[in-house]
Amino acid sequence: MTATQAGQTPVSPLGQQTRTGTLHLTFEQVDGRTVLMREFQKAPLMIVRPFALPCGTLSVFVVNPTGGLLGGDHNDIQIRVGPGARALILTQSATRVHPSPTGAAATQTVQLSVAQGGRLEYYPERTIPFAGSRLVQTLHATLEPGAELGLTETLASGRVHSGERLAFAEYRSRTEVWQGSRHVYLDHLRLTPGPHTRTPGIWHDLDYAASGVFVGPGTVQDWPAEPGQLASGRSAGGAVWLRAAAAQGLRLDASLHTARQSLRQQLFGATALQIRR
Amino acid sequence: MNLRLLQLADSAFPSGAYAFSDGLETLTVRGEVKTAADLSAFLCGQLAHGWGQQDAPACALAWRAAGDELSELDALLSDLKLIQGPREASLRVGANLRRAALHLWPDELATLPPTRHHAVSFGAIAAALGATQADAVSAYVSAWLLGRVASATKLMRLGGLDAQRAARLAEDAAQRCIQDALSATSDDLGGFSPLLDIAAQEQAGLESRLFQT
Repeated sequence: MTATQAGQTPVSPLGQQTRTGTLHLTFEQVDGRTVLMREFQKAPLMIVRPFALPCGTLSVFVVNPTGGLLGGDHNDIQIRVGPGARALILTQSATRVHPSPTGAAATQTVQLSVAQGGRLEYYPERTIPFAGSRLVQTLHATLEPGAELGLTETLASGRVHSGERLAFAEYRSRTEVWQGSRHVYLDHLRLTPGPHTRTPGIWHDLDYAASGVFVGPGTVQDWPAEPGQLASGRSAGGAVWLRAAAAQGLRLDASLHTARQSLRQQLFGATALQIRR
Repeated sequence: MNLRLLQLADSAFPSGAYAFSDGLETLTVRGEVKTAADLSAFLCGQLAHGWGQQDAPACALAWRAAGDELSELDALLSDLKLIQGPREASLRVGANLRRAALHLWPDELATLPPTRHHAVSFGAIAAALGATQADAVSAYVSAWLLGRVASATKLMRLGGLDAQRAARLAEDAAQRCIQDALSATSDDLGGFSPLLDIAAQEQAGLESRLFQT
C-alpha cells in the first residue's frame, strides 16, 4: 500500500491499520504581522500553537505524537505563505521510520507555495530509518518571483546509538523547486544500503548526511564550507544547494545551523533565528 | 561488438574526458583514497550509489530516445548535477564527443538530434552508429571505469597493473550498474554520494591540481 487520500483509514493486506496524517497551513500577513490564517490538521500530524520570533517570523512546531511513520502510513503536508508573510516550520523531534510487515513504504508528500515577498523556511529534525523500513518522500515548492525559501533535510544511517546502521531497506527523497515556470532546483536522493555504501565518496565511516536548498534575492559572497564536511554552491537553475556529512548528529546539526544562518543573512538579509524549544 | 562503438569509447577518442576526475583528486589529496583497495571501493561505491545511478541510466535512456526526449534528458541531467564542476565537465565532454563523432561519421550521424551532456551524447551517437543498447551502456560504463583508474595512476602511487586490478575488482558492481541502467526510467535518475559531492565542490580550491574537476 502506498499513498492514500486524506481522510481515509487504509488497511494493509495483513489487516494492519495504517494512517494518513494531514497538515494544511496557510500563513498571511495582516497589519504587518504574519498570522496562521487557516489550518487543517489530522492526526497523527499536529502543530503546537504558533509563536512569533523576535525577528517577526511566525514559527510552528509540527508534532507527531505516535512513535513515527509506519510502513504504509502517509503524511500529506501543504503549506502556503502569502505575500509578505514569513513562516518557519520545524518538527519537535526526529522522524522515526518503522518497517511494515508487508514491506510497504511510508510515504510523505510536502507541497509548499510562497507568494511574492513571502518567506518560508522548513527545517525538520533528522529522519531515522529503522531496520527494514522504507521511506519515499517528495517535496515540491512553487515560488512566485521575489519569494524566499530555505529547506534542509537530514538523514541518519539508522538508530546509531543502538548500533543499528544502514539496516533500512530504502530511502528516497525527491525535492523540486520551481520559480514560476522555471525549474531552479532538483535533487533526488536514493539510497538502498548495500556492500558499497561505506566507501570513500559515498558515506564512508560517517552516519549523518544533510542536504538543503535556499532561494532568495541576495548574493552569496561567503559560501558556507567545511573541508570534507560541508559544501555549498549554485544549481544550474540558480538556487543555492547545501551538502553536509558527519560522524555525529550534533556535529552535523552545528554545521548546518552555521551554514543556514550564513545563507539566510546573505540571501534574505535576515538576522539570526532565535528559536525557543 | 560494434567497432565504431569501441572507437567511440576508447580513451584516445578526443572527448577530453581525461582532464576530469570529478572529485577523485580531492579524495586522493585528502588521503581518503590512497591504496588500490581504496580505489576499488571508491569505484564500486560510485557504480552502486553515485555516477552509476545517474549517468549510466541516462546513457541507456538516450539510446532509445527521440529528439524532444533527448532535450528533456539533457535538462534533467543539468538539474540533477548540482555541483558546478562535474556539471560543466559533462557538458564539455559531451560537446567534444559529439563534434569528433560528427567529423568521423558525418553520413551516419547526419540526422543526430541535438545533445549536450556526455551520457546523452554517447547514448544517442551509439544508437545512430548501430550499437545495441546493452553494448552501448556496457561500453559507456567501461570507459568511465577505465578512465577513473587511468586518472588514479596520476594521482596516487599506483602502477598500471594495480590500477587495472582495481577496475577488475569493480566488475560485479559494474555489471549490476549496467543491468539496472537498462531497465531504468527517467524517474530513477538520482543517487546518494554526499562525500563525493563535497569533494567535487572543493576541487576548485585545491592548492595545486592535475585535473579540472
